[in-house]
Amino acid sequence: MHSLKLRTPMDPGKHRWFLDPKWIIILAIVGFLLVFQVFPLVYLVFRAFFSTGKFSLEAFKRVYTYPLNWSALTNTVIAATFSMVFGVLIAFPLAWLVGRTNLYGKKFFRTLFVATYMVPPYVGAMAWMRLLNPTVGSMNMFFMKIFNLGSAPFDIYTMGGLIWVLTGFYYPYAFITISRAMEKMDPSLEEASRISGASPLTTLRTITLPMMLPSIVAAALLVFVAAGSCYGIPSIIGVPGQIHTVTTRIIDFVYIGSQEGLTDATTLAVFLMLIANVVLYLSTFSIGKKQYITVSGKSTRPNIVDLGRWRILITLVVIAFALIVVIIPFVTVALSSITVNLGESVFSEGNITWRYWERIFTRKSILNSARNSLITAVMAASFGLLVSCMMAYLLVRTNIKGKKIPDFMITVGSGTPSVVIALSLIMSMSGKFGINIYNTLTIMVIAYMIKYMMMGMRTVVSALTQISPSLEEASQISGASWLRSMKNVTLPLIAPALVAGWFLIFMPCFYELTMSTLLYSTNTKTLGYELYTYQTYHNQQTASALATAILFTVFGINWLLNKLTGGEFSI
Amino acid sequence: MSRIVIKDVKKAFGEVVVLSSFNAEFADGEFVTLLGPSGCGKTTMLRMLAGFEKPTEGEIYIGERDVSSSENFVPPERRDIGMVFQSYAVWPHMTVFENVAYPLKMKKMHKQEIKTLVEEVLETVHLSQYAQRIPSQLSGGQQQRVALARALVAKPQLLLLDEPLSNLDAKLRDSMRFEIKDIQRQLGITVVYVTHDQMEAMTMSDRVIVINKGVIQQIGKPTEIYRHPANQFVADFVGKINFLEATSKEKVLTFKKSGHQLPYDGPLTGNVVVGIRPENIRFVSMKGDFEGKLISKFYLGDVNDCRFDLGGEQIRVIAEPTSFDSSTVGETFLLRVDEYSVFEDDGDDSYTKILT
Repeated sequence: MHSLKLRTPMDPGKHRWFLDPKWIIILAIVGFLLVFQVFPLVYLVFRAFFSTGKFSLEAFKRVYTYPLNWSALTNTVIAATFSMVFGVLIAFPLAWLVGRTNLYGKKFFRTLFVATYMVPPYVGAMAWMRLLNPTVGSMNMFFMKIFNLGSAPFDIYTMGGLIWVLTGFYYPYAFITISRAMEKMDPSLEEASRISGASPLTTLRTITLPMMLPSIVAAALLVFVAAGSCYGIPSIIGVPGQIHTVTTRIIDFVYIGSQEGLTDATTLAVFLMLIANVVLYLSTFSIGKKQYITVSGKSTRPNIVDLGRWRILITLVVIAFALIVVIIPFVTVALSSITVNLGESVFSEGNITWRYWERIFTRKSILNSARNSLITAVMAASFGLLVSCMMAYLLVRTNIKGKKIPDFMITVGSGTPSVVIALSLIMSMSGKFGINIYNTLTIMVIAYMIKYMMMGMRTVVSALTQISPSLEEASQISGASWLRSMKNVTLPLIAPALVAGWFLIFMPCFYELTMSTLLYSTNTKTLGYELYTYQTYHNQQTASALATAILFTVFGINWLLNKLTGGEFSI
Repeated sequence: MSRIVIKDVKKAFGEVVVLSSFNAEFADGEFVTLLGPSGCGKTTMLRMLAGFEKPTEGEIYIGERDVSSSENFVPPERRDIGMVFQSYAVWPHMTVFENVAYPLKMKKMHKQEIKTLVEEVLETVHLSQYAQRIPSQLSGGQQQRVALARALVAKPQLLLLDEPLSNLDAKLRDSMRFEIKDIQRQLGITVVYVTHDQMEAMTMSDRVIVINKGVIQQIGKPTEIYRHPANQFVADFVGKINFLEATSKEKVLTFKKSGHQLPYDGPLTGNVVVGIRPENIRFVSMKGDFEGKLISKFYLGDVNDCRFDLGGEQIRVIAEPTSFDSSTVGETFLLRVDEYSVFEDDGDDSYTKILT
């Protein structure tokens, strides 16, 4: 008889400490974020307090006693607060009308409002300064003619104008958040209220609204931070009217270029970062936990509230809203791009031209910028997606202890205002600490990744969560290796999410303005920055043509995404 | 007081007809169950009673009131109905007390009165000590009882229950079944209960309405439904059954495959299908109707579940547990049939299968 020699899989005596590949992944991601996100941000704060080498509040004293800075602070808080309030006041009724009533054209409106989310905010600013310019704004002229007014009724270069444009471009953030929460809510919670004797309106007030409150607060905070850290809109609308915000002041200070200017910028940035991080903390870590999870039975379609005789009237109001806030601005920008003389109507004699469109496709600097934007966006999206996939795997499929650390860091990164990220990178990555990537495309790719990677990560994570691990296990038990199981089973199933995640990172990077404004050099201008300089210094029509081209690209990609993923993903 | 009349109700979503020509009358205090497979239209019927869906055609009366017809439609909040949802739909932002008090608050009752009534109904569902809890601190069964208390507190004319037990585990489902029945008897309230679980339907109902593909198959007492099913669908859906093809001629049924015979004095002639419930077949030592070879047997504790080959067809028999020890696979036995139903052979042979 043979004596069978059994070899133990791992000799306990020779048990050696070895590095789990999962740990390598975590360490790599954490390392990257530590170097390019945490360290720069910490250094930024450090610099604000140790500007002269030792601890001092000199910089703070100087910055915050300067009246222009004070007004920038108050302006930022006022503009962000009002945009938040108006944004939610618009978004909640819209989300309810679109999701829960028999409003005409619900699907169309939903797509339209969500689509605004993808539009670069500066496009809105460009449109509204054309429409409501106090002397030549076409909408102002229109009102003057109709109501026979002596002077223009609106002036866009005011705080009111700023709030109006900010609201118009950031309410979609709230709309999307609130709509999603409303879709997730079990409709029988509302039905239970109806059967208990409550009218639709009472139900809305006593059940729907309180249940949605955590999501509404989260949505409001999201709008607050987005509006407060926006640069494109206040720089186009605010600055001409002497309304400075923290973001425009920071960029002004950086442009001064002196050591003092940089210190002042830093000091302001610390303020912005503080607000953003406190808000982020509130919305993800405290309110986020309060969100009600409800057991859902079979999926009944949500009970549709009959608007009755108000149906047509309310639909008309929504149409008017869509026209004013979405359609008219886009059309204005598109028309500006083919107008010779902006002072006259586009349809007047000989006022139509394609020369600006020709220009954007031939001028070398524009083509260069487009190439730069394409390269950086593709790189940021690809690396970002790679990190997203690894993070998703770690978060969903493993129980490894440190997995929450990179997740937390990525969340913080995306919650940090763009200006702050860019400034911190400038200060720490220009050779002072052995890394000099200032004036390269690399620094932009890194900045974009820090800001936008989370969108990709969340998409991949939620897709992977929906795939039961037993599907992979079934493949392994059938004889496929772990890697082949991934390739044959998991990958095809999450492919749509991967495509969506990639584009979710790609799109905002492609037309990015704020960070590019701080990080560009002569050879690394981006599309967003190019557009901004044309808008402010050279020729608004060319800027409009560029903006229109960007809009078409963005909508085109979204349409493609919708087709590719069978309607499962689009923004 | 709360007689329910459903007259020619039809419901279509666009082109798809989910319920065709539903006619029924429920007496005051009756416990009626709508039973059928998922997607048969039973929940749609319940939601039309509640007022969440509008019938495409037909009329519904609750008590003497026309709540739904071509001229009239009463919205759910004015129908005076209590309802328990499959997902319980207990509001997570309110305490148990607030949840249950809600229907009374909608009636603008006085605070003190609300307190008395809520305490009373919480007593009935054994939740008195949980009044100040919030729902997430309660178990599934307790949330279920909160939903029940909320549905009962306003003393509605009619109580609707939409698969209320399907999210509970088996033991709890058992005890809740009796509890709901008890409460209904105590309050004498009319109940319409929707389920796909025949056990729930059999144990709780005064009458069962079996529905398939939007059409009522049979209305009757549980015993009638079980012992005299109107057609093969009902026979198949409620309980276990063997279907055997046979021909009926001169008061004798002859089985097509095995050639065995059974007496028959019904009206059907020609091709028929005979339905025999497995528990209605016994082992006998003489005067058997069938002779069959034992193919398999399974000891289930309370019964011996076995299969026989009758010669060309198989039949399932559920025999008493002691027979397990006294029988051997491969042996031949005599079997006697105590009760059976005969159906017209509609050519659809999807029923003539061995049920497991």
